[in-house]
Amino acid sequence: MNAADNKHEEPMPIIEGPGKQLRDIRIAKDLDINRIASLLHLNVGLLKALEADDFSALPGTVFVQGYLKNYARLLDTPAEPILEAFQQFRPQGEEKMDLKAAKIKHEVRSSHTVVRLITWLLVIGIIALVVTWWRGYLQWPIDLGLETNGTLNEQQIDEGQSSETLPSEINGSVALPPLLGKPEILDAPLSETSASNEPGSQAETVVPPELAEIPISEEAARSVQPESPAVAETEREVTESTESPAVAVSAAAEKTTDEPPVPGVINKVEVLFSDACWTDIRDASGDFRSVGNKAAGERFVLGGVPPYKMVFGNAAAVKITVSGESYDLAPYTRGNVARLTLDPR
Amino acid sequence: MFRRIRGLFSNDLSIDLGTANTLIYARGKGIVLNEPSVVAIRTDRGPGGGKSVAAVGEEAKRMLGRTPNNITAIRPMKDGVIADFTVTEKMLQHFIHKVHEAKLIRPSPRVLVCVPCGSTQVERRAIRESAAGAGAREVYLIEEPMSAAIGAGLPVNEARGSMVLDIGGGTSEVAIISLNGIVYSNSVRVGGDRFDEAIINYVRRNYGTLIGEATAERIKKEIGSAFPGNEVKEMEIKGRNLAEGIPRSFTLSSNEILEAMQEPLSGIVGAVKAALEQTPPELGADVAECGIVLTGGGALLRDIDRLLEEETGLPVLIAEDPLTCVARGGGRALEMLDERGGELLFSLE
Repeated sequence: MNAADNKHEEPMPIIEGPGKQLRDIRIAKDLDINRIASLLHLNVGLLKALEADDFSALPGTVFVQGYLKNYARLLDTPAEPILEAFQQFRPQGEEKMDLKAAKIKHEVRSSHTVVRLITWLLVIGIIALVVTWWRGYLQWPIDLGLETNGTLNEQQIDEGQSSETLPSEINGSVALPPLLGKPEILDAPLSETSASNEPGSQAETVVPPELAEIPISEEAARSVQPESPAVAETEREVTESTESPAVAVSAAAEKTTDEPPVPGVINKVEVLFSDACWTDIRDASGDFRSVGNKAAGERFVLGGVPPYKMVFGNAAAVKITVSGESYDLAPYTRGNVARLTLDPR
Repeated sequence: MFRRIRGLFSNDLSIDLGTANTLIYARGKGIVLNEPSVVAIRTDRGPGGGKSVAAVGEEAKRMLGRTPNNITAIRPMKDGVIADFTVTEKMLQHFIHKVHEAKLIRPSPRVLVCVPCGSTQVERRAIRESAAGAGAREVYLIEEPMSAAIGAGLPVNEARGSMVLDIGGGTSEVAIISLNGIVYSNSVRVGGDRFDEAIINYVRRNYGTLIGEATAERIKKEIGSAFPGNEVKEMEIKGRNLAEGIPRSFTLSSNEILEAMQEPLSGIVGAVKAALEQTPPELGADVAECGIVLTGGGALLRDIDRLLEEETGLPVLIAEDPLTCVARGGGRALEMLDERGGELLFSLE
């Protein structure tokens, strides 16, 4: 241990104080201290303190360094060794102002790994939130856009059609197959409705040739009376299905439209407008869609596959009945705009 | 809001926006940039051709006086203040980007810019807006002598007069500081540029030869002297002879350069003497005891301290690393700004 200490001390040469070194040179050159003081424009007292390495009697470091430099230049001696000696002899309390080494505790650098990680996580999080909001709130039509873009416009309810009134005695129209993709026009005969869909390309391409002579939508139309065993029988023969009549009917509908079957009993949803109102109603499959302005007195029953996503621009003018029972829009209304998802099941 | 977030990824900077050189001190890093305040602008060909920055700093300085028609090398600072606002903004923007290694997020640092004490409110506002336009989140201004004194390590907070003379490229600032405040300050528009001009004029007058600014600066650095010394240095110079129109070479001595620079030197000496005259006696006594501290690039002119010593009869000391004193002092001021919770102990704007 002692040997190590000695080794550590060995490289440190014993250097005389800078003032003493300069004084030795001055004496060697036989120069008077008063003359030096006048040449350096310093007090004799200050110069004596400098030569005695009495730094407490001298002003700050910057001044002492300057005096030593000037003194060394006056004596024609290199200033560097003198300044090096001063660095060793300077008062311990007075640290050299080393701004380069100043520690900044609260400095945050972008190069820090944690900062970078947090930044990326924040960015990804924000992007995910924006995408979620975009899809959920504005109903970004990802699926619709890919599959039913072409048919959506056709399926939008025509103002004239939707304005037709609904006879209150007609019931069970919700059981109509969703392939129509339109709200049922209930005052028209059912066969007429199905006939209007007969030339539909979907039905023609999907139905097997032996069924071609039977109007598909007629089958669907019959489904309003699923209790009829004869119809069920026909269905069973055609589809070779072993399911119950009701299921068979829906299976037939599925076959003709490539749509999922309507599960369970669906209650009739009726929408009545007492005043002009902008409306956007879409069903879960995306086939049924009613978008546009509705006039006062308009009334229609929703088709398609529930649940329905609805937006009413003038909620006060809208009355919804589910199986004859009034449905309260107030909880979904903000301002006068109602946004809701309605599942009549 | 975004500037604050970007500020987390930026270093606080102290900028010595000088006429000749721009120095940037980054907190915790030291001097990170020391480049000439020169911008080369390229004008696109064709009618109504736009302008773009071709080079900034050292590269642009090499182009000074050597550019084709479509490139102009500009020094956007003149006499310590902005001469070309847009170009200064571009230059600052370039420098601020250069000192931030992260390219992902645009830096938005807090910036402290040193301004000459003689600059007007309009000139200060131009500097402030230029720095803000270059992306600074907050801009503080500090007077150059105060920054230089802090950078040189003078006891600015003590009840003792300290005199500092900062000789820059465009201006020389002299100030007496005590208790964190400037008691007297004066700025003269004499600096390194005026030395160069004086050399150019001297050579044209006495040798009938035209030399460029870059050559004049080289002469000043190599054989320039402010006080007659024992050693006479000589240097061979090449310039265009005005009578013949042909480049000719000739030899200049340090004594000739001393003679050439007499006028600007006497301007600086006059400013120092005027400051001493205006100083209150107690502070004058302090200055007489401790001496005058020189900072700035002009302090590197050979024997300028001896000239001032002879003229004033006071000790004159050159600060350690005088070129970077102002920028370092600004950096220290920024640190003090945080250490003391925004309580300003010296005049910041």
